Amino acid sequence: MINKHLVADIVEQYVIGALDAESARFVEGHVAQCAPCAKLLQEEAALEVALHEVVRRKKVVSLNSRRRRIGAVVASAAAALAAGLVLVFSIEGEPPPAAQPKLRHCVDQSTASECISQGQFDGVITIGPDREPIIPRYDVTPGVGP
Amino acid sequence: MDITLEGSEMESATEAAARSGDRSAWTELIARHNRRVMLALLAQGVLPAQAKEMAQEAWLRLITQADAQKLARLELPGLAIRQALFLARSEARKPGQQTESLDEVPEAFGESPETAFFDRERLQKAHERLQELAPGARAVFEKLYGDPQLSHAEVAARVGLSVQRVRQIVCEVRKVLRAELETQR
Ligand SMILES: [Zn+2]
Repeated sequence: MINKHLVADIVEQYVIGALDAESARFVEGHVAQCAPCAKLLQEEAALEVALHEVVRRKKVVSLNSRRRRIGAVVASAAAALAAGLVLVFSIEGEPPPAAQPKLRHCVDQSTASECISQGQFDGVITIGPDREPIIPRYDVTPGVGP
Repeated sequence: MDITLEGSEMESATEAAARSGDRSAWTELIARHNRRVMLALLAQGVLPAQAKEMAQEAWLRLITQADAQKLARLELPGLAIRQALFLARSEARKPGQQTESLDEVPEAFGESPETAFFDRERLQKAHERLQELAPGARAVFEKLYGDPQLSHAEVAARVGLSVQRVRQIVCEVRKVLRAELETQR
């Protein structure tokens, strides 16, 4: 029985990835049985997707202004976007942080099951005896956060 | 036909390594991009539990396709998002049934791998509004929402603020841009 709906702030914190695991599970449990709050979550996620587009849009505009500076004939920002020109110029900013490789081999038949379970829990990809990769299940890190 | 690709969508060394079978490269890519895949699914109205399953399935399919040398390029997060959205739509079409076997990554659904929820004019207005914000707040926001997409902790470390302050800034900027996007509805 749900007595109280989620407040918008907590849903926002969920989509930006700022909630701790317990709070994230609470949000997930609530939206699973409450349509209005599920709708709110969908809207917040849609906004989050749009915000990535807003930042991406900046890069389209800056490509065009750069091109104007060098006198090239350019399409409008919209046309550039439509043509997929984002590809061309958007390499800016910093290199990604150092990789943290997480891979565990669980090829020993006698211990594979336990090893794979632990890998799931630890959030690492495990390679089982059949050499197939097993992707960690993300419910060990609730929420959508980075 | 060309599709609009993310700024990060040129195959990186890590993506190339993953495509040629490097599992640690896959792990790194999944850690970095899974959030975007999840958001794309949630924005479609998929509930979190199902979204996690679908995101996981999407990654698994990409790995399988790469192993079978069926991926000419691996450009993330777009490819994973398209795969996940394809799964979501297949699921919606055929409830309770297994999706058909996928030998290839599906084509884009429209011009963007993530469905456009707001039209270009709204996005442009929001973009202009973003330019009017204080440079510090804008820099934080662009690092979090740009490419490469950094985590709150990574941005905090780079700009010398606490994670909490970075999150406050995100919420402040979100509020401004939300208002901009919604007043145009
Ligand atoms: Zn509710």
